[in-house]
Amino acid sequence: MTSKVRIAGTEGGSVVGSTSPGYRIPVVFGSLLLCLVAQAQSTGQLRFRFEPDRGMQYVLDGKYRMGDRELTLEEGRHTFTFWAPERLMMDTVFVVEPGRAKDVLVRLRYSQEYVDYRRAEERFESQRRIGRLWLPLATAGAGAWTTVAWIRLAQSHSTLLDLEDSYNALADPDRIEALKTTDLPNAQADLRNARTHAYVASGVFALSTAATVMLRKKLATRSAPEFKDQERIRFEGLVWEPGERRGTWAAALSIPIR
Amino acid sequence: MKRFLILLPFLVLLSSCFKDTVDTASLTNNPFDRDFNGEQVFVFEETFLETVNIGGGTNVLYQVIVFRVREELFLSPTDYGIRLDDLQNGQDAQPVTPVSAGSSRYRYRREPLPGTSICLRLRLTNSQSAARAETICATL
Repeated sequence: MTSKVRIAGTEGGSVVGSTSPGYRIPVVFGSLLLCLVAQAQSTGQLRFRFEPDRGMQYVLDGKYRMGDRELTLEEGRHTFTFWAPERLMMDTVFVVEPGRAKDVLVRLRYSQEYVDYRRAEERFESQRRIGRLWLPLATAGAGAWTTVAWIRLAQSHSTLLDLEDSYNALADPDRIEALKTTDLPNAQADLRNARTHAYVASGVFALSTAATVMLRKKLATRSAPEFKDQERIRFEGLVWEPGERRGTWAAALSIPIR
Repeated sequence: MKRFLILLPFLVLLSSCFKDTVDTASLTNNPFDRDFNGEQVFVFEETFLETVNIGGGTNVLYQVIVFRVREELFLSPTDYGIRLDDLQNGQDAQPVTPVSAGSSRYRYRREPLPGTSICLRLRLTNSQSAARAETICATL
């Protein structure tokens, strides 16, 4: 529906309006106006709103790569391929209606590579946090626990020996009986308890220390996961061109010259 | 940290050297223990008649039984008391007096019974509790 206006006197053109020289200038302006009106009637506007807004780009009709938020296009079907960093490419078609403006909200999903990368990164960070913070903290705690447990064991042992020695110094028959029936058995139970405690604490300490050392060594050889945006490569290098049967993939190289 | 890990087995070995059992049944060598199974603590020494002037020209005859406490059996030097029960007349907790100040020899005075074996039940005491009872007998 494009209108062609030919200006009188031009080569291969046709004259629109009167041939009188006095009317020539108004005729030319009228023709230009007609042309503009015709042009305006055959185009429409697309106003994009992007989610995400940062870095959103698109390829229009498989040819033009751009990031404009407003487009004036000829009426008809136009193909768009949208892409944003970390997001999945999306192909879609918009029908532009003449003289109308459409508001379009384009929302892109995260690409699977990015989702996988985020998971791997979270896993890596989590392991690093465990290896650098929680395990050393647990080891320090277990160390403190072990120290306290061994001190308590030594104290319990000392208490038992003191009680045993006190038998020789006691001269009160009731007190001696209490020592033999209550105090000494209790002290022995305390000592056994303290020994078990010390063994468990030492075991936990040894395990947590070994785990800390091993995880640290493991983390030292591992590097943080890197995100390779495959969708970007596809977006920048490939253009989908539907064929008669299934279509073909065509690679394109664009060199921005500015 | 690694050094401490190496130290751990030694600590465990060391802890196994800690004595954690005291055989309370084997604690029987204190004379104040009711389970004391050592030699006699009280040893009879002598018995004799003693005349005591109670005033007014009146004399009373007593039988004195002297016994000794074997303080050498004590595990540590300590003060003590003695509870004496006269088994012959059934009178309990009779007074005893040391032969001399600081002496381990004591005397018990009672009515005389010549030719009769007088048995006494003796116990060491402390803080109102009594140890193993022993019996000594004396015949005038």
